[in-house]
Amino acid sequence: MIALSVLSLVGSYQVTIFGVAVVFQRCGFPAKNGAANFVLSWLLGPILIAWLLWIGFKLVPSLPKEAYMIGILLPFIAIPLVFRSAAQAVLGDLRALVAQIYRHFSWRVIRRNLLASGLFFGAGILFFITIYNIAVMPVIASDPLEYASLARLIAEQRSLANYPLDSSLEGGFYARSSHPPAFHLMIAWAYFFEPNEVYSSRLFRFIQVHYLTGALLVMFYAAWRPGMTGYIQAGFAVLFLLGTPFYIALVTAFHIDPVRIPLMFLGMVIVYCLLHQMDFARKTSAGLREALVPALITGFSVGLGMFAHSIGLLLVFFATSAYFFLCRQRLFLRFAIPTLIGLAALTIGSGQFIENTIRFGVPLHDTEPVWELESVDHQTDVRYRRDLADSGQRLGNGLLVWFNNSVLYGQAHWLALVFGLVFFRSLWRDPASRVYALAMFEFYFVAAITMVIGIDMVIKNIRYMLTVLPFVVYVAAIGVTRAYVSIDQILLGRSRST
Amino acid sequence: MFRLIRYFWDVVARRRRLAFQLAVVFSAALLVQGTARQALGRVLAFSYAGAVWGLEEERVLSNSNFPGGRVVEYIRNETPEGSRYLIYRQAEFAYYLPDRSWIYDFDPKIIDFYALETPESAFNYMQAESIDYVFVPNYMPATLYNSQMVNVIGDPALATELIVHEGFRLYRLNAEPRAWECVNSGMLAEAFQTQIGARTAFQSTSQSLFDTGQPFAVGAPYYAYLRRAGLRPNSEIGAYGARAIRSAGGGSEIYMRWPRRTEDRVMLVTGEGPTFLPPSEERLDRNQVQAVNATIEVRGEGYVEAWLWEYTADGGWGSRRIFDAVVQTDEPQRFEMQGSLHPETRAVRLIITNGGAAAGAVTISDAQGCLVSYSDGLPDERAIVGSRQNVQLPTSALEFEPNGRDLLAEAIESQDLTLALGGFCSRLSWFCPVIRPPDPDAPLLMQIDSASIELSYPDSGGFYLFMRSPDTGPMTWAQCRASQRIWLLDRFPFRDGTIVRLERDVLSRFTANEPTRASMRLARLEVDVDVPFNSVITAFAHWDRPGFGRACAYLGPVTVSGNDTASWEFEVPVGVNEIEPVLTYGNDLSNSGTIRISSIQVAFED
Repeated sequence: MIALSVLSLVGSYQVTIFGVAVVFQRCGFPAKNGAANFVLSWLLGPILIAWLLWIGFKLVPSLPKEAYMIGILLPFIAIPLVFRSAAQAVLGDLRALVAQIYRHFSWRVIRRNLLASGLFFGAGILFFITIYNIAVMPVIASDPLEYASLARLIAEQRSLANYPLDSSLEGGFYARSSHPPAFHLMIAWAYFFEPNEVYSSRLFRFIQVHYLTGALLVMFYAAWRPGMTGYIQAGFAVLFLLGTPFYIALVTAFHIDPVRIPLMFLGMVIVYCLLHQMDFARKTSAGLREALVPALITGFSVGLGMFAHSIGLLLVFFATSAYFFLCRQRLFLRFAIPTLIGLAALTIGSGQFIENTIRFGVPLHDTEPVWELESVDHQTDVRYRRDLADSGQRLGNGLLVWFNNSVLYGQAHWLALVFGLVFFRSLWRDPASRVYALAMFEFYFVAAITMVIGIDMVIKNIRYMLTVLPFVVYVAAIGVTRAYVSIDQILLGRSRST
Repeated sequence: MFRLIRYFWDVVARRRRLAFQLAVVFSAALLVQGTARQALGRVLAFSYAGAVWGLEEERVLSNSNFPGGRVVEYIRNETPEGSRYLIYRQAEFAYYLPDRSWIYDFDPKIIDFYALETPESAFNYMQAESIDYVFVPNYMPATLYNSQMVNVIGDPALATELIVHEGFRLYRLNAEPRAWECVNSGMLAEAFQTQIGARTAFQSTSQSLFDTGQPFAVGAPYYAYLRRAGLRPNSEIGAYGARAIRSAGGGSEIYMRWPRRTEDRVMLVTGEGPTFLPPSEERLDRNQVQAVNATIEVRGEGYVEAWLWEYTADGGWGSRRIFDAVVQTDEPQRFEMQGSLHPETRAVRLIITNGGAAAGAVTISDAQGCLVSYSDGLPDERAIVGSRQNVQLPTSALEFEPNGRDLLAEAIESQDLTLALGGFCSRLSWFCPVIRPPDPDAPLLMQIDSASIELSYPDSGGFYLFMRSPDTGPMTWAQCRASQRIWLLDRFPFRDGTIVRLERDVLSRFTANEPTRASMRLARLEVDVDVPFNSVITAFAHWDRPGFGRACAYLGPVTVSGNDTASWEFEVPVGVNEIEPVLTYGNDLSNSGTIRISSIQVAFED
């Protein structure tokens, strides 16, 4: 019975992903290749379900769960039937990709590409250890327990009337969290598939499985380049991501961050795809008309990144500024396209922020009325407990926390810093690196500014500082690969074309 | 020829490249192995596949690796279903106890509560809200210590601590204030003052921890322990930001100041000697004493913690934090705290120290500690759960080295001073200290009294300390330090030299067991050995003891030769069905060979 539920849940994700991939394929953006579109849609599937569930619960609450399930999945089932050629292209490209991967499992290829094989082998081991962790770990962390409890309430009522819960229920439950409820709704969706109306953690584990897989797929997609060096680069990238102990600890503790972080990265990957396409289009004098659909798709993915978590609001800023600063088009397009992206993103992702503004007066908040009491002095407590009491600590344990404890936080930040500086010119020549480095810089800029003016919102939670991890991992992977290639060339004594 | 050279060069280059690639893979594996280690550690700590997939998730509550899980389990099983709780962390309640009724400390409905100014008014408020229990996580939130609730749960009259697990606590609010009296004991008063007074004579007139009775000279050296990260606990005693001062009103206060440095601790400690030992030879009468209560007044700015250390009769110890708060006030802020005692506890200490890693400077005044005796004579209610820090014995560090240097003999031959504690050494003690000063001509001062042996000599670059058991080979200071058994010694700078103090409690702690309340039964350990010459095997037995980690019994030496059987009989508490024997082996260091142990058997008598 539970096996059927698992298959149904995973099937619902796959139906959605495939539907999105077909639409992407039909639009020819973000990629021309169907398999690439499928990979880029992977992360968007469950959050799109959550977003549609949010609309459903807002507009027509308290219907039977089957109504929402059918209402959400039916259009995605219909999409491939409507766009048959695009669907066939996606399937064909996926088959070709699988065949290509299969060809790599030969001793001859492995022996020729020993380093890349070793890296992927290591990543594979870490991946399966993590999946086993996800499968067997109980839910014990504070935030996931509260998310799951609130999701249970939402699933039972099939309504968001009690979200955010700024007044306690009869039993005493109180949760004023005002993040966009994507993660709650993903858990609620998983509860829908539980047999016999049971609310257990069995199925919502697959959210983490899905987003861990998705993060690795997108990281591979971003870091891979044609040729063997590209495989090495992608191998380093997925290994460094999996090799960040704190990130994996969050995955196996069922936190929200492993969902939101890859979605933010995906948003920037698609921004890069747009930049790449428009740079190409510039040569053919293409204008706003050609940019319209890609910009809307970019805005769509950025909007879903916003919907994942309050900190996703930064993604709009990252995406639009990246396009503005890094595109090489005339001034009109440099303004018009980011505006389109922003409008589309806000249309998708701003709902909860608007509701928060109406209810609380601010689009996002991270406080409680009790914390605001002078006698309680919550802020001082947090500063001391999290070792952020003075400016030195706020710098070391806040802004630069990732350089503080490599046992817990992995080596990616140090590698990115060292190899990023050594191979700065080489990295700067890589357009994707420029996009991700800018996002990284902007995040740290925002964190630094808020820190300097005494707002702890970004630095007080180490999980928030994890936001830029994929960008850091990307830079680290590129830098380490450059270093490897340089040494390899010295060892071989000649230039290698790969 | 050129082709041949080129061919060989290519072969070498390819091999170098292969080696380089393997090195890169290996380095990458090293970089990311932390993830695997941590993930595997989590799986080992929580192997719950069956529970998760069999809809028995709540089984995790009984896993001691789930902090607070046992408390939630206790609430589920032992508190009435209609009870109402004030909770300072909602997650576990919301997920595992959704059918219970509670008030969350963040709930704006009780915002008036935070304006209350006395513990009594807070107690009455909670009674009006029909609150029966208070659930506190493993830290004290600002909503707790910056409200009067901290003084409600800290007062044995108003609340009773029912269960503690990994710092998570459950208190029952007493239906009526419960009468209790403060048992007059030197354990929390005079002994502490001796410590902080550094042998300065003074009198005590109350249960005060810091009411010194007469002024200290500012800067007097030994009234606080410093535990510096990476160094031996209590290894340095000095004026590290702690001094006694006179307040404007004439009373005594302690001023503590600490710099910003992770894990540096300035500790104000009750009782004598290292914290790993009981504070004195006095033992609590547990029929009379059920808990510890303390009150402090603090002003200044810093993160302050209070810890309760508990000691069993046979050398076991455990510690837990009973209070922590961030203080930021010029006016003295009063905090009351209590800690229930484990049934096996026979001695206690209170330690007030800094927490976190931020700098701080606070003044502590009017500190008082009490041993709580309830007048209603109700039995001890605290549930025994969880594990505490293990009792560590030095057996595993005693590695016998065949053909090794006889450091003891060398020390004796070079006419260094050898201390032997007479009867202690041969009958009661596991260790005899042998001291060899670095400079044989340096003056060495020695003093032996009923409590300790003190040695001092000029601190000219360290000293050697050899520790030797009666039955095994010597153990060097380096081994001692490496194996973290360093608490056996209390060493601190004194005038121009160093004092090494070996607590006599160490010597007797393993043999002078007091009868415990638990009933005992006989156990028998038999070991079949094959040794090439006359040898001595000494055995210890370890077993799990809920609440205090591992218990240990010293079973003593047995001489064996050839194919032989060594056996020991000893007592374990009823209910212990598994023991872990530790065997150590020694000879006179002039022989070498192989010892074979063919079987180890443990039997229990009903």
